[in-house]
Amino acid sequence: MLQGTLNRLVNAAILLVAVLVLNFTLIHIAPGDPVEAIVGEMGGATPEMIAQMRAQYGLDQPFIVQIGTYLGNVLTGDLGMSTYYSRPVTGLIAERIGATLLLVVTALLVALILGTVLGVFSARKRRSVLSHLVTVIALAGFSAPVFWVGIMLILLLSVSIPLLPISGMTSSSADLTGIAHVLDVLHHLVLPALTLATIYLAFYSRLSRASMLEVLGSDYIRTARAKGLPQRMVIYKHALRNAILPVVTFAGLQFGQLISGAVLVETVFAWPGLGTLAFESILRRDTPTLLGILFFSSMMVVVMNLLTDVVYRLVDPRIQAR
Amino acid sequence: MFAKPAIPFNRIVSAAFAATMATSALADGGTLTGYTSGYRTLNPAVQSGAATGAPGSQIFAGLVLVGKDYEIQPYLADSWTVADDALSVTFNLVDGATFHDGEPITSEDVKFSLEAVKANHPFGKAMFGKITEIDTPDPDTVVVHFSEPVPGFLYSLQPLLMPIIPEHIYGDGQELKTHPRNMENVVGSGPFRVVENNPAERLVLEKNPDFFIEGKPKLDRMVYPLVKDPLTRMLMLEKGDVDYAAFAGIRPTDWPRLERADGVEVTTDGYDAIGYVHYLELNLREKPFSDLAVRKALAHAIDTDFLAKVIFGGKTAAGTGPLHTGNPFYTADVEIYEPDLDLAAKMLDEAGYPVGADGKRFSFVLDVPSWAPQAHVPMAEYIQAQLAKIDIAVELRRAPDFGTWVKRIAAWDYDATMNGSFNYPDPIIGVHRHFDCDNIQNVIWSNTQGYCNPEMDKLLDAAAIETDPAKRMELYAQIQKLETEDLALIYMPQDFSVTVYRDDVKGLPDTPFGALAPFLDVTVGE
Amino acid sequence: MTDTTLAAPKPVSPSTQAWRMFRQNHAAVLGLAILLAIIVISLAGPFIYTVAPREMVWMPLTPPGQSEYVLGTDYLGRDLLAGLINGGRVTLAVGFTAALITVAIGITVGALAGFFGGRVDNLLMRVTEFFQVLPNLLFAMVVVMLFGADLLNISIAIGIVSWTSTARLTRAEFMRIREMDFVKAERSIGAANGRLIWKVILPNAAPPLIVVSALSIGTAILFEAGLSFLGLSDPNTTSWGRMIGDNRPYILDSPWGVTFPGLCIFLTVLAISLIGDGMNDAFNPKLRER
Repeated sequence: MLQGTLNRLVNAAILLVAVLVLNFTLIHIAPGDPVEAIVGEMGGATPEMIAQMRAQYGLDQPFIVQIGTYLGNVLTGDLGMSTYYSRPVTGLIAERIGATLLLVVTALLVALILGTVLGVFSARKRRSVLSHLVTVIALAGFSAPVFWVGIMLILLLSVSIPLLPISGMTSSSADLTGIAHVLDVLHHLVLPALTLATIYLAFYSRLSRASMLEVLGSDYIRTARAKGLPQRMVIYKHALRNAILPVVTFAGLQFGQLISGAVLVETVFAWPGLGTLAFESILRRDTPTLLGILFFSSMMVVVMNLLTDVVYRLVDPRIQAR
Repeated sequence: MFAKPAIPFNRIVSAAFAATMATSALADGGTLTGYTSGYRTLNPAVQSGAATGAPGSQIFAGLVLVGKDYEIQPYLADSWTVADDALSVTFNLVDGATFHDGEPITSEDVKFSLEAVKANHPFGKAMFGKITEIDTPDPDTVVVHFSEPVPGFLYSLQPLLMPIIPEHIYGDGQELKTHPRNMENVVGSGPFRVVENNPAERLVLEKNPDFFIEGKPKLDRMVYPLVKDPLTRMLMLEKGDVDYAAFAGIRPTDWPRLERADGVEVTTDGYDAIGYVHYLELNLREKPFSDLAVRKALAHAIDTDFLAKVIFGGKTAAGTGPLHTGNPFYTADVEIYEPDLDLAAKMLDEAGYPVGADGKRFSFVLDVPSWAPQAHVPMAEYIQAQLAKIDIAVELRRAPDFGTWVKRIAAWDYDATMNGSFNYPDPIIGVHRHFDCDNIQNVIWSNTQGYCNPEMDKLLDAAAIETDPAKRMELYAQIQKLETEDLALIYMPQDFSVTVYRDDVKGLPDTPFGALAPFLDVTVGE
Repeated sequence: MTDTTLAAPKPVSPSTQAWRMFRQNHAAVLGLAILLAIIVISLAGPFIYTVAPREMVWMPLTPPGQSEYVLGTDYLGRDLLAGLINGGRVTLAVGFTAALITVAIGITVGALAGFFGGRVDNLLMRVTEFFQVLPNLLFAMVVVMLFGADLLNISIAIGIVSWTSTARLTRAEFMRIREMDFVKAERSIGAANGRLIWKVILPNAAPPLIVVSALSIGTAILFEAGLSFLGLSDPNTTSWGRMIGDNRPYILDSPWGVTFPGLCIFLTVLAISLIGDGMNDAFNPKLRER
């Protein structure tokens, strides 16, 4: 098993280097570079100024040197300097990751818990109103563009009924500290988290329902029932434990894709997370930041895959036996 | 019950915690809340534009200020004398002025700043290219020498374009354009100092207690949260969460909403000196745009009044030529092209561009930059729809990012582009660059369209060194007339630049630089 | 395929049987009807309703029912109805093209990996893993930014980041069917690999793959909408996603420019999901109970 884990780690590392090479190459062959973006932003510059700045960012070097330097730096934990902010990319990511985590984790937890509950209940009573409701929620959540859901919620809960702030993470005009600050952030969190959770909920209710049905139909549950174990015990002790596996796996994978998942919602709500930073970096041609976020995202996926695997082994003894 | 907005949640929260904050609030001379759309640097010496300029003009002082009727007022220089031959200016600095770190501001810093701006600011050469020498006979005196008279020189010395920056910080040999101290631990010379700079969240400025003008500034704090989303801005303004927003970035259609809001004022004042104009830039090197008759036909086909009145809600003027209607040298006496599609079609027929077998006269790609979509996208969409009516196929190409667009235009590798630029108070800075034969460069916002008319050059050169205002006025009238005859650029509606503020904000600078002037007399509340 | 490979003679073909099952699923039939209606309107609409979608025809932000343009106008005074009709073409075109790319790559990779196993499988699964690790929307954004926002590039970008799950499913199906007797029988009479893959195994793996392919159209449409919403769309065409992005800043004055195109996307994807579910049930009668 140790050998297997080691293998997996090595594979993950190779995968990440490949991701770095691909990203770097793609962005390199594209027209335009960060200096042009800065020059534009500055309001123009002379050719000498431009040449000087290119040299400063090493953009005058041959491709192989550039990518070599970059890979070397990444290995030492240095993702380079943002060409827009003139600050280290690792610092920028560290500053923004909290907001994204807060949003995604909240949405994921809400969806996971609510989704599992709905899914399990509707699996137990297949012909009930609740069951049909779950089907409808799942279908609707699958079919609606997440950013549109966000806008509709803004229209409903910020504009028509002005209960919630329209966007941002804090009322930055007020200087709040302590509990007031926490409450303020939570207040801002409701809408974006709700939006994201709506979409996630569709997945989880459907998945846990299907999974639960499969487990309930399996032999060992029948056996358990046959043994005369109480219904609740069968459902919650035996069935749920197994039915939750695919749900956990899926949550892990989805969490790995958190930045991608959050881009649209963060954009709609101007949530200051990594998704908006990534989008802005594309628009500003801030290559080091963009590369850094792409790399970081891939790393998240890899790490989450490894973790999911571990959790899987813990929850399901059958896998361990293999 | 929901007709009137409920009390915002944050108000309730802040009320609950007001007790803890009251002690500090009592001594407050007022906090002004605005917003920013983000900036890459706080140092206006290396960056033009409002995003850096608005806070930059508060953080850094300049030698002079520009007053209401474009008169020059003392600032860090308490007096100056222009030599009779107009080839040198001697400045005397105010006594006891210091940077935010306590170091004195000396003539050496002024010299350093002038040279830094000349070398690093995009307009550095245009503004200070004729400076031959800068003398610093003593710490309070600066003498600037020129090779030729520079009539607009003093206008360039206000903080927006010529901030006084500390030599002991920036003179360490590091590249100024990307100097770390442009963003971190910024040491300025102006009325406000930086206390918090988190580009992802907000910028907080605080009164500089050692400012060289006694009793100023009046405000205690200025807070600029980062708000990019126009919708959010609009709601914040409407609710009164923002005290003051220059370059508010709202849509013309938002104006009526704001006018209905209680205690909120909207104004387009304060943008005259900046003079933000938009235009259609045609690459004059290639057919069909090298053909003046084609350009004239396009000018007849594009109804800029329609754009201004319908698309921009009548809140902005249709530009008539290179100068903004608020510029002191502006004239309306130029060549006007009445909107007339039939005439445009006829002109194209006569110019040798009849409708071909494919149903088109010709086709071209119109680039749409990414930096002013609220203006350029509607304009481009309109031009595309309008020219389709006279059988010209326009393909829009939206630049994915800023750099891509800059590269295309600066390399002259384009057919046509939507574009825009600032006039600045003196046309030498913002206007000459587009029409001077010598400025046909691979640099963005130079004469990228490749326009060259010796007659124009003669006029521009004369205007650049003419020190008599009346004669200069006449020269610029001729320049504007000639530009519209040649259609070097086809001017669109001017930018919808507005300031939105709450009516308890008093003492806003009512100068041509408005939003980008230091807030010395501004107060909030009582 | 020889008759001997089939277990027992059947009165009707499996597809006929599936269609019968499908027909009984009211939701799925409704989905099919909606989708067909949307396709017909998108294809024929512009010839019947001839208002140019990109021309400024009326005062901007006119609400529905206040002018001859029944659904009102957008922020530039363009007819929303014309925009919806013409935008549907683009959205559907990108949806179908991207789904085609997704399915083509996914099935090819999955089939080869599942059929050959061993090293080929190992290598192809590495490649699949690699693409799975890419942050999907972000990566698609970068690709569209780099290679230009035309419809083909957008479709390719969506395809590149979406094919991995199809590949995994195909691989699993192939691995399962590969070991079945009728495949072994074919192999024993010397059938070439190409024949085995495309003619023998693939048709038997088809039901779940068809369902996944159908659903991937919906996913692609949502993807396209997201990209367009962020401004990564062809500026010369109107799509539903782009309409939402363009009109979003004006929702305070007129929510219609956002509401209508969003509803269109919602309905289309919903219809596809219903059809997908219906097909799933039809192909797997024993699962219908769910």
